[in-house]
Amino acid sequence: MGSIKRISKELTELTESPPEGITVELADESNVYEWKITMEGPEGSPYHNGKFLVKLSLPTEYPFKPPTVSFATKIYHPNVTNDEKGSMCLGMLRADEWKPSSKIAAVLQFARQLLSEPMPDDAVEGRIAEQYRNDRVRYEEVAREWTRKHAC
Amino acid sequence: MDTGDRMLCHACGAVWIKDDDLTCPHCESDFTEIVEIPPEPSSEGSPSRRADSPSPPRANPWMDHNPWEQDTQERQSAGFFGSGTPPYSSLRTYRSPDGRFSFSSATLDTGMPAGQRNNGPNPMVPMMMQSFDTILQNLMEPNPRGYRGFGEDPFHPQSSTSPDWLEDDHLTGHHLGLFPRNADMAQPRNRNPMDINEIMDAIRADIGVQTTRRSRGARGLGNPHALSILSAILNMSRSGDAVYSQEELDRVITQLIETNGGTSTAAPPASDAAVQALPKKKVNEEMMGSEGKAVCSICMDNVELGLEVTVLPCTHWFHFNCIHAWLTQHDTCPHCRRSINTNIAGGEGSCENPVVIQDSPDQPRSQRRHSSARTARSGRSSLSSLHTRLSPRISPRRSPTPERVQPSNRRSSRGEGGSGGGFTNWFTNRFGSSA
Repeated sequence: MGSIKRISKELTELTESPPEGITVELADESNVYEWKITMEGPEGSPYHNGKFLVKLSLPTEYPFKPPTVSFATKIYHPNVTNDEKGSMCLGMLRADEWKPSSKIAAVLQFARQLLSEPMPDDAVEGRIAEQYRNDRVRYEEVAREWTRKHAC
Repeated sequence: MDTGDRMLCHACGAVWIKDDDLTCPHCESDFTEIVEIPPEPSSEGSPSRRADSPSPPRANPWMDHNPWEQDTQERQSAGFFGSGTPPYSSLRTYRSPDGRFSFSSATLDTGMPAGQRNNGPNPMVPMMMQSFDTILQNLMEPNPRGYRGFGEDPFHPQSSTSPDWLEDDHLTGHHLGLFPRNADMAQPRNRNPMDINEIMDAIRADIGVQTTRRSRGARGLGNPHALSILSAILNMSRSGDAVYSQEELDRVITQLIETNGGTSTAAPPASDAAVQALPKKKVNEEMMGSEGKAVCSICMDNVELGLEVTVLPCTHWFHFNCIHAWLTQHDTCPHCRRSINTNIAGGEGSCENPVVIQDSPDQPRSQRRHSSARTARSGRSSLSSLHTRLSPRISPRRSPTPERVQPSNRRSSRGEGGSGGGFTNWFTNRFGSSA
């Protein structure tokens, strides 16, 4: 099974040399398609000191179809839906942007980068995006507050 | 019984019964998926149900109900189906392509001359309306056990809402939703239609909405609009573009987004021929790079010197099986997203993607300009000759293609069916036309 082989390979790489602030494990040892990721809020962002639980689901067609990334921990961020799903909108994960040579490591690093630099133009939470643009201080305040409340 | 999971090969599309070896026996691809076969709903629930309901007389309840009494009673029992003389019944069966649910309908023709038929009200129509009404009422009842299904016996003592006509002596012991066998032609007995919940679940699963059977009693769709149920039942096609409630509309939109939204702007698939035509090459030292180690960036497997790989016009290379699986979805390089058609077929205007602009005054390609100029000149001399000259060129674009005609025909015939013969006809049209 090529997809499983590739997934296992990527998993091994990620557990052996994890990117900064990211730890990876399987949600269930018998299922390589569901990953549980702990992402530390990047320094300098209002999410700093927070530990965010991120779920990454790989389709069975991986790497021909993109994985999906969602935040199990509540987070105040323009690019993460503020609901129980916590879906993260990543450009590279859209079906028309995805390419099979993208690795999960890159996806996760991109996701963490998004915590440092939200992309309000590509937002799923318009209200937060607006606040991010117009009232950065207040946005950071709320994001810090949520981080303290939900992610510590 | 075979309940084993299946394997699906994403490279060649083959399906086979799962065994220990997970590679595709057909193309030896590694990109395979285990398709879990859920237990058949009918095999878990129905045996017990069948056991305690009186099974043998599986006949249409309307079959024996004879509004014309004595004079046709005997003929009916003797050669009801064989003779072809009225009254005769017709049986239509609709089965979904995957066989997961089926509907049947039976109609009883009065045999009256067409003129008389419209004079008085057809006794069958109100009866059928009433029974249908009962079904709908049962569906809408907030019933803690869930909806009453077609598969349950409506004559069971606990059913309190049977209309009067169902208690008719002629009918007791028969099942609603079960149909007479055709005596002329041996045919397999229709499978007992599933519980309405199963049907609805199947439909909803088909349109990509997740419902779980355990939430049956308290699902969000507590009191669905009658029309929405009707539309769900009748609109067997996956598209289901007629909706009667906000929920339904949301569901359809969600489905459309899921199926089309993400991929609409994605690159189109490449043709198999184009993929096959890609040059192959043995991995040489240059391709191994400075570290002497290279991987196929699709499967992330190391490649060895001398291994044959497929090279795209952008010079990126992959295992043939890997790139084949990708290119049959999108015709771009998985690495740099360059189209594989740029070098092979000359990009825009290639046989895959022809530029056909008949009427445009600005023709970029000189050859086309000549041809359009020629036709324009001839048009000056005679309008009819212009038409003759243009028509073979234009006709495939202008004249409606069979595909275009068909749906509208079908739609109108369905629409008019309602006015022709009332409910019965409409029922037959909806259910019978797909049989």
